[in-house]
Amino acid sequence: MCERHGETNLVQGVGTMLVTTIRRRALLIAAMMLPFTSAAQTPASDSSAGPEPLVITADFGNDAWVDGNQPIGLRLSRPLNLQNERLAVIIGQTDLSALFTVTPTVARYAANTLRLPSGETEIVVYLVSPGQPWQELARIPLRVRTRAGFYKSDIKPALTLTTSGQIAPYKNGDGTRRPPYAGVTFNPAFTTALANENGTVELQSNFLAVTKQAQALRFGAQGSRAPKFDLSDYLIKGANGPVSASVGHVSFGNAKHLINAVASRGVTGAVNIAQIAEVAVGLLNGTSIVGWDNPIGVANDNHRIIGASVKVDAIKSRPGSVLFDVSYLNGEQLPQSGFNQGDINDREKNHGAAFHFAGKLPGDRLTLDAGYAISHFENPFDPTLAQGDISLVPVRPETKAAQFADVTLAILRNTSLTKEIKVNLSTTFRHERVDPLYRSLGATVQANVLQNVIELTGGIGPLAVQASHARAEDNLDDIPSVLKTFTHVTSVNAVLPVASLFSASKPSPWFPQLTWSLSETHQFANDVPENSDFAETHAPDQMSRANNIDAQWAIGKWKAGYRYNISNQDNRQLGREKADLGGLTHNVALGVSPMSWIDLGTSYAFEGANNHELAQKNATRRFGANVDLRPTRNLGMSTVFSRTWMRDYPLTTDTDNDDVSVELSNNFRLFRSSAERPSGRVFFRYQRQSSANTAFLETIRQDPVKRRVWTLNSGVSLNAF
Amino acid sequence: MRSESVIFRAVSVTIIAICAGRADGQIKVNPTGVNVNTNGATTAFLTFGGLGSFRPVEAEWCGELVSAAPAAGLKCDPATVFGRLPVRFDQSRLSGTSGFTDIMSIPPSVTRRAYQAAEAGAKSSFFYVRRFRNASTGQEQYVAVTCRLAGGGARVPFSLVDVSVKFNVETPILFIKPGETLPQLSARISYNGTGRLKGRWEIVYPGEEVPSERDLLTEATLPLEERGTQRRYAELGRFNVFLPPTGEYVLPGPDVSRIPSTTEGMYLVLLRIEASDDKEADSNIGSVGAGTGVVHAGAVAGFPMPPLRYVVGAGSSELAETTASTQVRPLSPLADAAIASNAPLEFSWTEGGARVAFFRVEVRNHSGEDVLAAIVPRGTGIYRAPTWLLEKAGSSPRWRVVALDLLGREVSKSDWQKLSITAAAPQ
Repeated sequence: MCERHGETNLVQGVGTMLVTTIRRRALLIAAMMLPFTSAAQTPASDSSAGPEPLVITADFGNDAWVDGNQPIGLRLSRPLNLQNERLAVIIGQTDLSALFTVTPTVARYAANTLRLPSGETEIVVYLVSPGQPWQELARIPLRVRTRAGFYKSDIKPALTLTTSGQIAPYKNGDGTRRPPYAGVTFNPAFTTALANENGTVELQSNFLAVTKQAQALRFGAQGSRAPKFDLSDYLIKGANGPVSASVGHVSFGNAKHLINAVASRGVTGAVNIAQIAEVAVGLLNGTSIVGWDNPIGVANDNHRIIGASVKVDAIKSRPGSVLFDVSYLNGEQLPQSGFNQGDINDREKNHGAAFHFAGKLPGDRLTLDAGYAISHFENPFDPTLAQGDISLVPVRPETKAAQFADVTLAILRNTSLTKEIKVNLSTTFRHERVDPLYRSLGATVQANVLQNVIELTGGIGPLAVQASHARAEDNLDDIPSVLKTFTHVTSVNAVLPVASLFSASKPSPWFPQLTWSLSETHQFANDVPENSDFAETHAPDQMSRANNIDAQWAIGKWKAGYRYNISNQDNRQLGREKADLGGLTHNVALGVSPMSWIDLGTSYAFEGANNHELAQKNATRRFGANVDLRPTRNLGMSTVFSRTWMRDYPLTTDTDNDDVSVELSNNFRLFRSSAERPSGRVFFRYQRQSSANTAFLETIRQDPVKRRVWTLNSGVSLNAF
Repeated sequence: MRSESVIFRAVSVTIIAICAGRADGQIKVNPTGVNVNTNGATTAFLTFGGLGSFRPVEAEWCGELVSAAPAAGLKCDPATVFGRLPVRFDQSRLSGTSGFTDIMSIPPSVTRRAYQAAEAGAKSSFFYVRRFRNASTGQEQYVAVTCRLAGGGARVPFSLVDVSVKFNVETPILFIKPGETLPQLSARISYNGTGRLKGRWEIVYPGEEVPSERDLLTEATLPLEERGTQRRYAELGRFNVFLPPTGEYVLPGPDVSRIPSTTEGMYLVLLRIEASDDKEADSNIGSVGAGTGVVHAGAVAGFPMPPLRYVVGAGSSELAETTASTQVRPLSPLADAAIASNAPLEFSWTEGGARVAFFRVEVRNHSGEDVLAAIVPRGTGIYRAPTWLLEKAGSSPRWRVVALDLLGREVSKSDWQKLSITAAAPQ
C-alpha cells in the first residue's frame, strides 16, 4: 500500500515540481542520453585488467531522512564502461533509470521531476550488461519524511475565484446587442488522502458557484430553477485489508450483456476472500448526475441500478486458468439523459443475471471467454409518452437472453523468422447472439443480432496486423413481416514503426509510424417482407468501403502528421442503383517548438464529398495556425487563426468562415513570498468571427451575406490556496 | 326568382368556402414513409407543406389508421396507439413557404410495441400521424407517415440517437489546474443508417455567452432557413469520417494540445455536427409545396448535442478513474503472447497524443498487484525490462502504458495486455 502511494506521490509531485522549463528539458535530454552522454565522458577502461568492481554509495546517508522533492545522488566507485554497461535504478517498485543523469562518478536524480515516494522504501541499483542478468549492486534504504502516523497525509482545500465578462462591444456586426457584462465563478474544492499500514482513505470534491444563471451546472435541465451554487462531483475511496468501498461518482460491473462499467453517482463495495474470490456490490443512480439534490445518488427508487457480483479464480496455483463470475442487476430508469449525454430514451425497468467463464489450457495456447445473460425487461407507464389522456397499447414484459463466446488459439509464438525477427500469430473466433427485444439498463447492447467473427492477429517483427471477417444477421425470430438484414464486414488494420525496419537499435526519426486500416461492409436483405408496406426498393443492398492511412513523425523539436481517408457508398438495390456517395479527406499538421517558450503549429485539411446520382460535389478546405508564446514565467500569449472555405459544384453556394482568437494573460502573486498561492491571473481575450455566404443563381453570383462579430473579454482570477 | 337566386348564391359561396378550406388544408408530407430501426430509437426529418392556416398540434404513433371524418385524412385507431411524441424530443418548427419541419424521434418502446404486434401477426408497419388544426375554422386534418420495421442500417435515415461526450476520465465535469494538459476526449455515438459524420469541435471560453439549446442541435435538425444561423464559437478542429451501417462509433476528440487550460474558469467543448448528404434522410420540400429542392438531413438528431464542461482552477479530478485510450497503443509483446520466463522482455508502444512527456509502463501480476513500473521519457517508445521481471510477475502478468504530461497527469492509457509465461527456454 505504501509503495502504491509512493507512485501516486510520484505522479502528483510532477505538477508542483516542474516549473522551470529549461531545466526540465535539459533533464529529459540528459535522461534520454544517459547511456550515451556518459560514454563520452568516461575514459576507456583497461580491458586487459578486467573491470573493477563497481560500488555504489548514497550521498544522502543511509539513515537520513530526506524531503520528497530533495535531489539525491548515487556515487559510483568508478566510471561506467558505456560500451557494455549501464545503471538501472529502481525506487520502490518504479524503474526511474531514464530520469537519472549520470556523470562519470555520480548518478543524480533531481526530484523536482518526480517527487520521491513518501515513507520508507528502498533504492535498488543494478548493473546492466548486454545478454547478462541484471546484477544487483546495492540496496539503499530511502526514508522520505512523512507526517506523523501516516505514510501519506495530504489535506488540501483549494479555492479559485474568477471574474470574467465581455467588455466590448455593445452592439455587434450581426446586429445583435450584447451589452458588456461580468460574471463571477467561484470554485471551491477539497482533496484529502490519508494512509497508514492498515488502510487508506481518499476524498475529492468539487463545487461550482456562478452569478450568471445560464452558466449554472443544471441550467440545461432546470432552467431558472437551477441552483447557482452546486455540487459538481465528489468521490470518497477507502480500503482496509481485503475490504474496499467508494461513495460518489463510481463505476460498477463487468458483465458484457448485463451490467458493464456503469458510471454514475452511488456507492460500491468489495471484499476479497482468500485471494481467490471477490464479492462486490454497487448501488448507483440511473444516469450520471451533478448537484445537491441526490447527494448519495440512490434516493430515487424509480431511477436506480443495483448490481452485485461474485468472482472466483478457482485454481490458486494457476491463476486465471479457471475463472468464473456471476452478476446480478435490478434497475429502473426514468426517461432522463445523463449529464453529458443526449439520447432518445424511455421509462424502463429490468432485472437479470449473468454468468461468465474464462479459462485456458495449460500452456495457454487455447483460451475461452464466454458468458450468458438473462434479462426480464418492461416499460412501465410513461406519462410523457401517454401525455395524460390517451390509452396506450401496453408493452408486454419479456424475458430474453444474450450469449457470447470468444475462443483464441495461439498458432505461432515467437517463432524465429530470422535471428532477430520473430513471428506471432493467433486466431480468435467470436460468437454473439442477442435475442430480439433483449435489453438491460446496465449495458449498451444491440438486440436481435447473431454475429460470428473470425479474427487473425499477428506480428512480424515490428509489424502488427489484425484482420477480421464478421457475418451478422437480424430478425432472429424470422417474423415474416419484418425486414431481415445480413451484414458482412471485412477489416484489416496494420501498424508499422517504419524506422524499426531499418535499424532497430538506433531508429531514425525521419521514418514515420504508419497506420493503415481498410473496412468493407456489405449489408443486404434477401427478401421483401410480406404483410408490410415494404417495396423492393425499400430493402437495402449496399456496399461501403473506407480506407485510412495515418503517418506520424517526431523529429526533434518538430512533429508532423498526415491522415488520408477515402470512402465509398455503393447502393445496389432496385431504384437506388445510382444513389452512390464518395468521400475524401486529407489532413496535414505540422508543429514545432523552436525554443522552450514558443510553440508553433499549422494544419491544412481538405474534405470532398461526391453525390454521383445528383452529380453534386462539395469541397471544404480549412487552414489553421496557432502561436503560443511564454516570454516570461508569468506572461503568456496564445493566438489561434483558422479559415474555412466551403463550396459546392455545380456552384450554388460559396461560404468562407474566419476565426481569430488572441489571449494575453499574466500571473501575479498577491504577497511577496515564494509560495505559489495566493496568486492570481489577469487576462484579455479578443475574438473575431466573420463569414461571407455567397449564393449563385444559375451561375450568377449574388451579393454575399456577410456577418462579422467580435468580442473583447477580460477577467481576473484569484487562487486562495 | 329572387329567393332562388339568393339561395343559389348562398349555396355557391358555401361550396366555394368549403373548397377553399379544403384547398387551404391540402397538407402533404415528405418523405411519406421511412424504414425504422426495429431494435431501438429512430429519428427522421419530415417536411409538411401546404399548411395554409392550419397549425400543427400533436403527433402520435399507432398500429392502424381509421377515417378521421368529419376531419380530413386518416387518424390513429384509438385502440392501437403506441405513444405521442414526447415534448422533450419535439424540435419541430414552422418553416419555408407554409411549411412545417418535423423531427420525428421514435422512442424504443414504440417500436417495441410495433414489434410485439407484428410478432402476434399484425402488419409490421406502423404510422406517425400529425394532427393539424385551423384555429379560425376549427377544421382538422391528419397526415400520416408510414414506418417500416427494418434493421437499423442501410436504407434507414442517417440519424444520431444516443450521444455521450466524455473525457477519458470517469467524472461528469473535469477539474484541472491551470496549465495542465487535458486528457483525451471522445464522443460515443449510436446511430442509424450510414453516411459521413462531419462537423467541428468548438470551445466556449469563460466569460462568453453560453449556447442555447437550439444552438446545440445538429445542423440537419434545423429547417433550411435556420441553417447557418446557429451561434459559432472558436473552432478547435474539424472531423469528417464515414460511418458504416453498423450502429456504433467513437469519434475522437480534437487534439488536446489545442484545448486551452491556461486561464481559470469554466469551459464548454461543443460537438457541432453539420448536415451531410444521405438519400434516406432527404426531404423533398418542393414536392410538398414548402419551397424548392431537397433538404439534406443526414445526421439529424432529436436532442441537443451535450456540451462537455471542464473547469480550470482549484478543483481536481485526480481520484477519478482514467478510461482506456486509443492514442496509446501497445505494440509488443502482443496480447496473450507467450514469453519464455528467461527470455529478454521488451515493451514497445505507439507514442500518440500531444503534449505527452513521459510514459509509465506498468506490470501487474494475476492478482492485480503492482510488480513493476517504469518511467520512460517520450521519444524512446521502448522499455527493456529487468531480467528478473517475469520470474517475479508469475504466470499470467499483464501490462499497459500510461501517458503522462509534463506535469505528471495521466493523459491517456492503453488497455491491459495479458502475457503468458512459459517454461524457461534452453540456453
